[in-house]
Amino acid sequence: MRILIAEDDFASRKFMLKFLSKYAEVDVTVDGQEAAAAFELALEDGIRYDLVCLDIMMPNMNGIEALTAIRSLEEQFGIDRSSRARVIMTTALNDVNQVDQAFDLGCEGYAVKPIDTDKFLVIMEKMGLDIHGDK
Amino acid sequence: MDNMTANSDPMMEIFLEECGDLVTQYETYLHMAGEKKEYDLTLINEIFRITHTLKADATMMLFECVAVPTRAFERLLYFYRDECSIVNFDEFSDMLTRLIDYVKSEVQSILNGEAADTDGDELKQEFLDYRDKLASGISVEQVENVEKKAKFEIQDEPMRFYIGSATDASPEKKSTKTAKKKTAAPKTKPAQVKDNAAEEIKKDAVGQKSAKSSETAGASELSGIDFETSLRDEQPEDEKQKDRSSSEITWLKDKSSITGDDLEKLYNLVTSLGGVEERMMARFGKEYDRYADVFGEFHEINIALLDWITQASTVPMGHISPKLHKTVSEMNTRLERKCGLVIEGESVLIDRTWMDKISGALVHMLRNSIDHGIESKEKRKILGKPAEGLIKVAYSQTEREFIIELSDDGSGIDVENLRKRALERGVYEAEFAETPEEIMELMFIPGVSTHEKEGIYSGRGVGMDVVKHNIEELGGNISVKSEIGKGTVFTVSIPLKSGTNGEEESLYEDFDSRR
Repeated sequence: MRILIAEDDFASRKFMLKFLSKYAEVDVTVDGQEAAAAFELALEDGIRYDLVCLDIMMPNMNGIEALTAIRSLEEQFGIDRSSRARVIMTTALNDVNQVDQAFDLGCEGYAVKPIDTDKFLVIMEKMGLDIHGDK
Repeated sequence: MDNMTANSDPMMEIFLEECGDLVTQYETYLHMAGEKKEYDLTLINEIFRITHTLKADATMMLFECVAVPTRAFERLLYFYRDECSIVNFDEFSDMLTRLIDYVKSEVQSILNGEAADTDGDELKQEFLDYRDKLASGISVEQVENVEKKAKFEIQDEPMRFYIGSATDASPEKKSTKTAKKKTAAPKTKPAQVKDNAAEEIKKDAVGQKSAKSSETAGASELSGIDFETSLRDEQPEDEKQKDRSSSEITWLKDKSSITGDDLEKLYNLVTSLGGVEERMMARFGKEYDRYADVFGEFHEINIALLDWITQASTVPMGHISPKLHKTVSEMNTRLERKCGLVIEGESVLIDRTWMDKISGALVHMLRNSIDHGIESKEKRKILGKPAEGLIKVAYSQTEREFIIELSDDGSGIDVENLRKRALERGVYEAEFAETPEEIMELMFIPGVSTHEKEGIYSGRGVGMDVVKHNIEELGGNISVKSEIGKGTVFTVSIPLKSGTNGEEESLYEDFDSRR
């Protein structure tokens, strides 16, 4: 499994990296722009990400914009809904409108920081990601 | 202020509220079916819609104990909707009732802060067994057809999961990232003043150049609560997140939500800070001006804290205005009515814990008033009333009571008619009710409706009894005055608890005027 993390806060980034590295090969980016670029590169190389974790408040391109970019890239590459990457927003914002907006734009999960790692694993499984097998 | 909802996750609040709404709708349809002793396709479709929403909501909130049986119930409904149109009234009513009771009790457990004591598997199995029974009554082809259609629809549903913050009770999750960075700042350096908590707070306070807005108030509040953590903080940076969730001030430890008692303790702590400030002022006397900048910050943080805690434990009634307006416009569309809504006293603050019950009661009352109170456009024209009906909701507060007045300019309630219908329903009390006031009381008895013709939304006798129940749970009461042809006024009054509402307000003002 391959996971992409976009997170500008150093501590949160390291935390997520440490947590998710147990289950997958993890790449880390520091803002939305870099994340979208990494995602596009992976699509071109044919080594797609299974899961993308996006912080919302990030410089250059925020998580919501990055989500939109990722979904439109997938469309360009002709990837249908069922096989597209799962996206979980990881953020300290839990404003109801923000959550609604993110879901409407096509993320599968929304996790409020500090991340509840047990539940995070639960939803990864529900999303069809393999957390028991080999990385 | 959205980020000030202190004691629980806003998504969770909305979910629980919606659960309540959906259960009420279930009950309404259950009752409607009871009148005719059958479930027609319209009813099944409505019940399907509610079930679908409930399932999606529960799944999203990882509320599996509700999602599991609801999913099974939905599978059952697919059969009715697509193939098996004849519903066994008694059996289906029984199952719907069990689902309703189950959801109610699970929601109650959540509200009480208890963990769900069941996974819902038993109920799920029951629904599935019944579904199998239905399936055995029709051809294999038909069963396949239903399954295929269901599978197709389920596949198409968007995948949505929400995880609340790991420290659910902590106000930290409301803080913005900036706030978080601010609190994190002193931790990155080794704490030099480990044994002096006060020093640490001061340092933090000085570090914060402005504590003016409520957002930064959240931050200063955090630094206050967090100092224990910062003093002990010697873990590597990446452990911080984990550490935060496990270390709160002692009495906040291991709580899934902040209770009213906690808030009161917090409130007392915060007000005692005000006392300390006063003593410092007195002691420093003329010197005070020399340290004006530091004292100024201290004062601002004090105020911000007090502001935060007031916000956390109370909420302005205006909070539910959008919901009320939405109810009215929905009713207008569905019933082809024209009715305006005026809300007065939106700034009146009430105890946060009351909100759910009050909002539920108000929505019921609004629906009732529009459905039965406000006449059709045509009828209003004939009566010489303005085409647009008007409902007014006014909140007010005296020293002792919180009052809601809901008035409409509709047809009013005919007491004789009300009594007649109560008698028809075999309501025992109706035989003894004599004065108009006594007769009015009858409408709060389960099963008694204020109107002969039953609308889509209300008037099936469910509703007003629920309203009364909600209000009584808060220790309040409800009364009705009505004049035929002129309208009806409902008055709800709820006695205030000590230690909440008005008090904080006055203290806050007092606090502020000292500067």
